[in-house]
Amino acid sequence: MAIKSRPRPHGGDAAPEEASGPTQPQVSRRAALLGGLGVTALVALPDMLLGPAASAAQLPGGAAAAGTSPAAPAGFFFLYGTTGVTTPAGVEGWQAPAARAQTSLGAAPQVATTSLDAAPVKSPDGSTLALVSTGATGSTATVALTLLDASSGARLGGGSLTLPGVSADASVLVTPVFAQTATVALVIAASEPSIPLAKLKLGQPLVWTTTHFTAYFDRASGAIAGPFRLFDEPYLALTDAVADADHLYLWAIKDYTKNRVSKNGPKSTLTPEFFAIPLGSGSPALNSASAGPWPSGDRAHLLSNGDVARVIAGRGLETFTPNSGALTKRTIAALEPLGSAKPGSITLDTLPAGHTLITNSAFGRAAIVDPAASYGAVSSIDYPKVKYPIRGTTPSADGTTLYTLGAANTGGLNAYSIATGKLTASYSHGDAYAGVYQLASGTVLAVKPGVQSTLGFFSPQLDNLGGATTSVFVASVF
Amino acid sequence: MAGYDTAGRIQNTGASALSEFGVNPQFWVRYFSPSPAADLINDSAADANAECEGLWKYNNNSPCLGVVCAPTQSRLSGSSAEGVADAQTYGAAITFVFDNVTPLDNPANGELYCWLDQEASTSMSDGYWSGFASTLNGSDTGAYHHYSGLYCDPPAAPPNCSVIDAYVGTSSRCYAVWSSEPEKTSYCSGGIKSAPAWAADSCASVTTYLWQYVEQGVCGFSANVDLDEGRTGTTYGNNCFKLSANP
Repeated sequence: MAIKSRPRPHGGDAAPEEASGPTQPQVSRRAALLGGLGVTALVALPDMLLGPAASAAQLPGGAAAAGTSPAAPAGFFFLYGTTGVTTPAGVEGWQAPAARAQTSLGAAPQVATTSLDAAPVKSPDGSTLALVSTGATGSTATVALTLLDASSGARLGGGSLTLPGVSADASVLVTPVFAQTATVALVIAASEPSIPLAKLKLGQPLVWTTTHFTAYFDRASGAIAGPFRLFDEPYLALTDAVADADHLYLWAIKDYTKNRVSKNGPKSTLTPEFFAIPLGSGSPALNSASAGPWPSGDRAHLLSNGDVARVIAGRGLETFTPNSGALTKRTIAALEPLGSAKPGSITLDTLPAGHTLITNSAFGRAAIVDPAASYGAVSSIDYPKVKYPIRGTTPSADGTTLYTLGAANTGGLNAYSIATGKLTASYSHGDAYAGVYQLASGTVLAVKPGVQSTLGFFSPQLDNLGGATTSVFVASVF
Repeated sequence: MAGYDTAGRIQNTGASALSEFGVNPQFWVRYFSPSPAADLINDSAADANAECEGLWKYNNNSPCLGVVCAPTQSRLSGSSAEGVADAQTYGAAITFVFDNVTPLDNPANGELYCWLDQEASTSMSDGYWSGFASTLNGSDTGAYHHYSGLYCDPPAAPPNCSVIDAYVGTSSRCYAVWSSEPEKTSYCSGGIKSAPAWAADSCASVTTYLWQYVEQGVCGFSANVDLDEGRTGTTYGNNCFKLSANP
């Protein structure tokens, strides 16, 4: 095991989380926030450990990345989050250890877009990023899909479609779902308001009626099939979705408010439903009742044994087996007995060996199960609990290591052997990070939110490579 | 008044909390959809009734039920459509529980504070909040009003107060803040029997009505509860559902 540490830099960083409180500099922070905040942005940053670029990357806006040079890294990663109306997204304050002698990130960060209507979605193989935005043509709502190379930022393709019968006032929620083929399915929930939001007054009742559609983008031909109308009755907009090579799978639930009479009126039964929809179609081939929770808009997952699954209550799985048609609620023995006062950040990853890794930051435990062996336990790893992070753990690409956030009183990062569950490396200088990711180059990226969010870069062995600050309040990294 | 919030089920949590703190709470705040990492009170009518039996069991003198939802936190950086969708689900889940637990009554003042969980590390966009709050504020059942509220750490860096403060007087108004700070280890020993004097953090334009003064992990409590108290001079229980009998 390698333990690495160094003194806290500059002595000016925020104290660990437990020490936060009313003594923080509220006035100066508030002043810094003046000017408007809360614009969603996607920013491309160079992945510093990748090799020199052959040419400047071409970002979605069509402009070459300003500031790139022959020495610039070839690959990018993306920060998704919010920034200010008058605060352009940027990265500054680069600090690199002298040993690396790297005085800058090598290429300027680029704002990929500020017109996203949902968080980007990465393809299961990590190669492609799907972005969606919505708009209107005349009085009809439109949806646009853009696919980016997740490493270079180059535009790979995309298309747009109109939604017949959906007004420009509708709230349109689009979820891209990568299939195991060249198809990218779009799950579209178009909610029409009883009053346009722009005209809504405080105290006025507002009723939404949601219609669902599917559409399918063919990456080979660039054509879009659809939209196809789903469901006869109104369903809530949120669905949990995943696809394999043949079907789009959805969990959905009817809109209870559309069928209720009154508190004392007759009660309708209400159960989440599961649908299997052949790719390219709008007609479910299968519809069955789910014993799991209401959909929350989270991504479901395709597992190594061909099952599709979603995490339930932060500790279990609901799986669907296409061959048998069985929808099964499963407990994970290592997580089932655990509870917490607060929910935590959940992750589900498939490891190279085919095992499924589930973590819950509120429990401080990772469970590894084997879907091919009836979801039997393989191992579990205990790690420090932290306050609700944006991402509390990430497995290494080779499946050997689990990176986690350090304990609240030490901050930093830890690395555990997935095979043995033992701590193999640790780094702390007191910064309490709130997110950990591994980039395509193998670089481990840690994120600490703040007025200037801190980005910490580490080797796979948790050697500190340097840091930077960004004006983006990071919600996720792709 | 002091009470608990928990991501677990009341009937499974009440005994350990009573053992740890010696008294029963005056309210419980429970998680509703969309909260993918919690046990949900709205999973089914049977679950809602079982939880409310627990609510009655662990203080039938003050069986008050507060409501909160904790969407996957990255959603809070998203668009108005994501806020609309989350609030649509949240409002339906609240109404489902209200309808299916027969003795669950309206909030005493007709105003149900419906908390959205924004953790200290989480950012929030203007678009998400405006979609969320306008939808929830407008989703009245006719029997009582849904009032959007924000659980947040007001001094935290990611935008929270700066977003909700901008919507005062609009259809996306935030009616109340539930502050997660300050939390001090000196507050641990009093439990809920002797909650600290009101000292919650606040935003500039939205009043803090509920304060989480102690968190499970900070004090090392074994019971799966965080400790909360209502604003001095107000009665938070009036902004909660209340049972009139054991379901």
